Amino acid sequence: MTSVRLVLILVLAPVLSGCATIIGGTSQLLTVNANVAGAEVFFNDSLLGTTPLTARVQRGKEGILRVRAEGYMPYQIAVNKKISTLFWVNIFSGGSFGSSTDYSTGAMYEYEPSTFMVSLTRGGQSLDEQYAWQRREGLRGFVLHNGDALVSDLAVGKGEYIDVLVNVFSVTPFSRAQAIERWRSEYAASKTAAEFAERMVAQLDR
Amino acid sequence: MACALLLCGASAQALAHIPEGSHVAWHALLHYQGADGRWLSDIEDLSFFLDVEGRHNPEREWDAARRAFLAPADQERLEEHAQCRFPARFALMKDALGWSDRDIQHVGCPEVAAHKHLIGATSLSVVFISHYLSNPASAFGHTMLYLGSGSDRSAVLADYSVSFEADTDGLAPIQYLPRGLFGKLVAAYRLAPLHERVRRYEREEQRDLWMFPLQVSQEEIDQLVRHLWELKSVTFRYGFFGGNCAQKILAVVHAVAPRFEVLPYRRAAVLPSDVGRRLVEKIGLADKPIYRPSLSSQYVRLVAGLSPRERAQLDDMVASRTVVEGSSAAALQAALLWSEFETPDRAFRRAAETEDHRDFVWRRALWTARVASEATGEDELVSSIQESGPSLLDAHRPSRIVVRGGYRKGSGSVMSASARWLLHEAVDPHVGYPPVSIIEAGRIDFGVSTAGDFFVDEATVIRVAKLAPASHLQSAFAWKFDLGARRLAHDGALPLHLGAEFGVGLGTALLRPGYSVAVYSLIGARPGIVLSGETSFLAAGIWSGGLVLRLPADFRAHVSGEYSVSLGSLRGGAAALNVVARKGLTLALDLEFAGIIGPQRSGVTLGFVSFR
Repeated sequence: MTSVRLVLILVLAPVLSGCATIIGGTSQLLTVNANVAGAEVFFNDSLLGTTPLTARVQRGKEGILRVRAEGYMPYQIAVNKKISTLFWVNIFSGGSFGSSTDYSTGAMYEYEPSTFMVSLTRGGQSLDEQYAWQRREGLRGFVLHNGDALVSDLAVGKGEYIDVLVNVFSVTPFSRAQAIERWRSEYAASKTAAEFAERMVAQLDR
Repeated sequence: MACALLLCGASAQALAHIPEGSHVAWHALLHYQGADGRWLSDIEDLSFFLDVEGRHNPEREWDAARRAFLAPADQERLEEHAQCRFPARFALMKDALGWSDRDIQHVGCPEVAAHKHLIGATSLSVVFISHYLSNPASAFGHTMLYLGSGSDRSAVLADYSVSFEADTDGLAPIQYLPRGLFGKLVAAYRLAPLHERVRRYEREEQRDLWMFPLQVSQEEIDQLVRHLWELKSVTFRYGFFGGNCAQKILAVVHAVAPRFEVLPYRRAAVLPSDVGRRLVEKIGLADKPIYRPSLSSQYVRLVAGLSPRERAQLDDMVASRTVVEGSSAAALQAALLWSEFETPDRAFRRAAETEDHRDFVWRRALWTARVASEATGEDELVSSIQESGPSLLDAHRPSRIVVRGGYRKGSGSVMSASARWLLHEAVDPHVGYPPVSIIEAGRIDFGVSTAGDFFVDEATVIRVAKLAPASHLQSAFAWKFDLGARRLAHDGALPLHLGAEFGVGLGTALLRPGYSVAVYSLIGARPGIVLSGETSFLAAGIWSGGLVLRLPADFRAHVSGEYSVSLGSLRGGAAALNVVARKGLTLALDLEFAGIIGPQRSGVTLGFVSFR
C-alpha cells in the first residue's frame, strides 16, 4: 500500500506542480488599438467596446474580430483560426515589407499575443493613394513587430534593422547619420511601440 | 499558328505525349514518385491536378494541362485560368513545346505577376534553424528557404522566406506529438518576410540560423516562385518521419531543379541539421554558409569578450536595474541585449499605463546611455550576421553504434550493442543543439549472454530531454519525454515495458568558455504495458538525476542515476557513467560504465567502442 501511495505521489507530483503555470483560466485579455479613436470592436458580433480597448474573451476561442468606424472601411479578421492558406493573398501589399496588409480591407498587426493594432482605411482612393497607404502600413508593421531589435540597432547606430529603414526611406550614404539621429529622436519621444510606429509613419509622409 | 494550336488543343482526341527530355522535369514539378508507368504524386490534394487521374498518370496530366493552357480565358475570371493557377507548369510546357508568345494566347495573370514582382528573388538559400526544446516538435530543429532579392545584404530582413509548417494551434504537445509521429498533422507552405521569422526564431525562441546559398540559376529561382504559387492552396499531411519540414523544403527545390534528387529527401526521415552538410557534399554551395546568431548567442558572445571590470558593470546593472556610471559601451550593449531578452518589450508594447514600469524605464536609460557612449570597435558589438560561427559541417554524424561487455546476475557474462539512428546524448551534443540535452530517435540496445539468451534492453522511438539551461538566459525548468520500450531498472525477469514517460524537474549549469558543469534532477511517471506472456498495465514513478561535465580538449562526462518504483512494490535503481574523448569528428572513444541494482537483476557493463 505504501508503494501504491508512493507511486501515486510520483505520478501526480509533476502534474500537480505544473498546475499553477499550465492553468491560466478560461478567459484571456484582448487588446485592440486602432488608427481611429472610438472605433467599435466586435467579437463574433458582440460589441466589446471602442478603441483603445482591452476586453476579456474566452481563451483560444475561434471567432471573427470586426472593427468599424464612421467614414472608414470595416475591417474583420479570424482570431485563433486554424491554418489558412489565405496568408498568401495578403502579401501583395506592404511594399518591400510584405506585411499582412490589404488595402481593400485594412490592416491588423498582432504585435504581442492578443494585442492588436488595426489600421482602418477610407474607401474610394486612387491607386497612388493605395500604394502610399501600403507603404505606410508596411513600415508600421515592421516597426511594431521589430521595435526592440530596431531600438537596439539605433543605440549602436548600425545594423540590419536600420538597413531596412535606410532602404524604405531611400536614405543616401551622406544623409544616413542625420536620418539615424532623427529616428533616435522619434524613439526617445515615444512612450509606446504604437506611438513610435506612428511617428515613423509620419516621417514617411513628410 | 495560334489559332491552329488552339483548335488542335481543343479538338484533339489523341493523348498529347510528354516530349522526350521533359519527363524528368515534369515528374519533378508534379512531385511524382515511381518508375516504369507506375507513378504516384506525393501531393494528395486533387485540386493540384487538372485530370482526374492526374495524381498517378503523368501523361494524362500533361495532356489535360496542355488543353487547359490553350483554352480561351474568361476575362471576368482570369485568375481561374490554368495559366494563372499553374504558372510553373505553363512555363515548363511552353519551353518544352517551343511555344513562342505568338503561338499562344497569354492570359496575363496580374496576381501571379505581383507575387513574382513582390518577392523579386535573385538568390536561394536553405536555412537551418537550430533546436527549440520548449516545443518538443521543434527539438530536431527546422528547415526553411530564404529568397534573397539583392546582391548585397542590405535590407535582407525585408526579403522573403518559405517554410513548411504544421498546424498545431490549439493542440498540447501530448496531442500533437503522436499525430506528428504518425503523420496526422496538417501542414502547408507558408511565405513570410524574413523579419517575421527572424523575430520569432532569433529573438523570441533564441535559435541560431545557418543559411546555405544554393547553386541555382535565375530561371530555377523564377520557376520556384511560380511553383510556390501553385502550392499556395495545397495542404499536406505532416509527420516527423516521411513528411517533415526538411523533406518538404527539399521537395520544392527538387521540383524545379531535379538534380537535387541526390539529396535523400524521400527517405523515412531527414534531419534538418543534416541538410546543409548533404548540400555541401552532394551539390556544393554558391557561397559560404552564413551564420545568424540568436539574441542569446549574441549576448553570450558579447559577454565572453567583456573584461572582468565590464562584467562586473553588467552584473551590477542587471541586478539593480540601473545604469552604472562609467560603464563601457560594450557593457551597456550587453545590458541592452539582456533587457531585450529579459523584458521582451512587454512594458514597451503595452499601453501607456506601463510606461513607468521599472524594466521599461531601465531599458530607456540603458538606451540613452548607450547612444551617448563613444564606442570603439562597434562592428564587434553589432553581430546579427556573422561570417564565422559554429559550423554545422563540423558536427558529428547523427547515428551511432556502441559495443559493450559485462556481467549480469542471472545471465552471467553478456555482450551487448547499442545502435542509435538519430542525434545525440547529453554527453555529446550535435552542433546547433543544446549541450545539456538528450535528443534521440530510433535507438535499440540488445545483447546476448554466455548462456545463449538473446535480450533487448531498450527499443526507443523518441527520447527528448532538456536537462539544464544551455545559456545564461534559459530557465532552470527541466523536462523529458520518452516513448518506447525499455527495461526499468527493477524489472528483473520481466520483459520490456512499453510506455511513454513524462518527467519534469530542475537543472542548473555553470557555463564558462572552455568548460561547463550542469546538474539536474527530474521526477516523472511512466504508464505503459508489460510485454510478457500476459500483457498487463504497469505504471512506475521514476526519479532521475545526474551531472554533465564538459572540459577542454573535447572531453566530456555524464554521471547519471535513476530510481523507479512501480505498482506491486517493484523498485530498483541504476547508475551510469559515460565518458567521451574525441579527436576530430570520426575518431571518438566512449567509455560507458553502467550498474543496475534490483532484487532480481543486477550487474555491470562496460562499453568500450563507438562508431559514428
